[in-house]
Amino acid sequence: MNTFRGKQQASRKVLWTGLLACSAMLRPFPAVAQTVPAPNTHATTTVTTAASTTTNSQVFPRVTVQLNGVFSPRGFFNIMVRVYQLQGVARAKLDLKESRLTLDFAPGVVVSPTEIRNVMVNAGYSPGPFKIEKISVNAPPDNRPGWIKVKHPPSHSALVRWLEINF
Amino acid sequence: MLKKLLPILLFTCTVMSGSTIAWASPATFVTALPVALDQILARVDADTALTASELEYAQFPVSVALGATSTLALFATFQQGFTSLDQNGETYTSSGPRDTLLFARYTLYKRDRPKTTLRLAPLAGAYLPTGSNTLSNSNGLLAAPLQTGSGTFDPYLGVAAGYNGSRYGGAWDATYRWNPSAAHGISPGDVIRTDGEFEMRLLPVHLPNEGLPKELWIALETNLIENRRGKIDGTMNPNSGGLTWNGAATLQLPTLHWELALGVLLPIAQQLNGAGGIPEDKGFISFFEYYLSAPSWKGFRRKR
Repeated sequence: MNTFRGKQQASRKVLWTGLLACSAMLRPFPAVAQTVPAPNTHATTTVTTAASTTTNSQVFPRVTVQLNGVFSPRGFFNIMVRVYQLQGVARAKLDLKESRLTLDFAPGVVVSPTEIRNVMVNAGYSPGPFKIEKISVNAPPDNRPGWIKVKHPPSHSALVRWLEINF
Repeated sequence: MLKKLLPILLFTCTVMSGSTIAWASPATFVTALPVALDQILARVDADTALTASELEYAQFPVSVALGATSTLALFATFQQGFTSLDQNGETYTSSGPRDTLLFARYTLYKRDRPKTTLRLAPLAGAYLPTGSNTLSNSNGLLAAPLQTGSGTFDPYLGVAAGYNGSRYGGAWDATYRWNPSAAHGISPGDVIRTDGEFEMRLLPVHLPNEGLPKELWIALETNLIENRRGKIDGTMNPNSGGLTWNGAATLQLPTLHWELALGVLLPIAQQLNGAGGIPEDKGFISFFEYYLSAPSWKGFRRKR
């Protein structure tokens, strides 16, 4: 099972920090991303970190999630309901054939694997493998089909936000 | 124990529905509608008689479902409409709200695979007596089809199941509505029914490698409904109830935020108790579903 809990989290943070530091010293951005298995996690889950000397504002996280059990637009909506509540998601890409969801976050946002996993679990689906990449803001735009903008209404009124998200 | 029972239950589901079981969007029953946490599903059905007959109707049930947790969904169905009955050269009509159905469904078992998903969920609730079972005119009580309620609080139990793939899917349920006898008026008998749905994606034939394409599905449904004998003012009515077997076919257009379905309901076989029963006729069925994200106050708190 894919678990991100307790002591595993602490060891993972140390490993990530080490990997990021080593990568930064060895390769300037935008070098080919280095893929490492997430420590003590599901065997198929990978966390990809690009070697980077740039600041957080020059890269944005991209999360690619393999969804199990989503074969219809309605299934994607079940997931999107949760995605709306994630902070910093700029857009989402829905690929029905591959049952895959890709999320682009705003530059500088720190993505929590636990939070991504909870999106799927709370939507009622069993989490599949997912990966987190860091993409340069200067990279060529990804104009493949399937991207939709994720609304984050700024209103302080819960009712107004709800109306803007749903209509 | 549960692991031993599950295969038996699933086999029973498959045999009783006569089709592959699935988690889709049936037109003739709402118990198997998938609802996720923090999702609201609003659905309006429009069911009317397709041909002129002695019994004509137009019903517009409105169903609302809320995902309370990732496994618990709460449903409410508010029914209203018009019914017209030709009897002895006279036409009688009734309209207004019918009994309201409230129930909760708990996903007891789920299996998500990269290519398939399976759900099994028991449900429990009740019909609230928001309709009337004592509608009458100067000649006395109106006939049973014109009554809009049972006059009692009716417990409702059942189980729903679903199986989905990228091209095929389906749903199944079996429910029991216990109708206690009302002291006055017309009390319908208990209702035992099982519904099955099989659906297949017609278009696109081959999904594109990326994106969320426009889709067209066809769904075939079957309903086996046993209405037990009812009562009039507490006395058994031998000319009531019966067994009905219906079939339905719909074309469905699903999108990310809504789904539209249009189709026909066809009676396949009917065995009515006693004399004077009114057989069901062909009907037009349709529904429109809209998916909503439930209001969230989390962001509001953070902003403060």
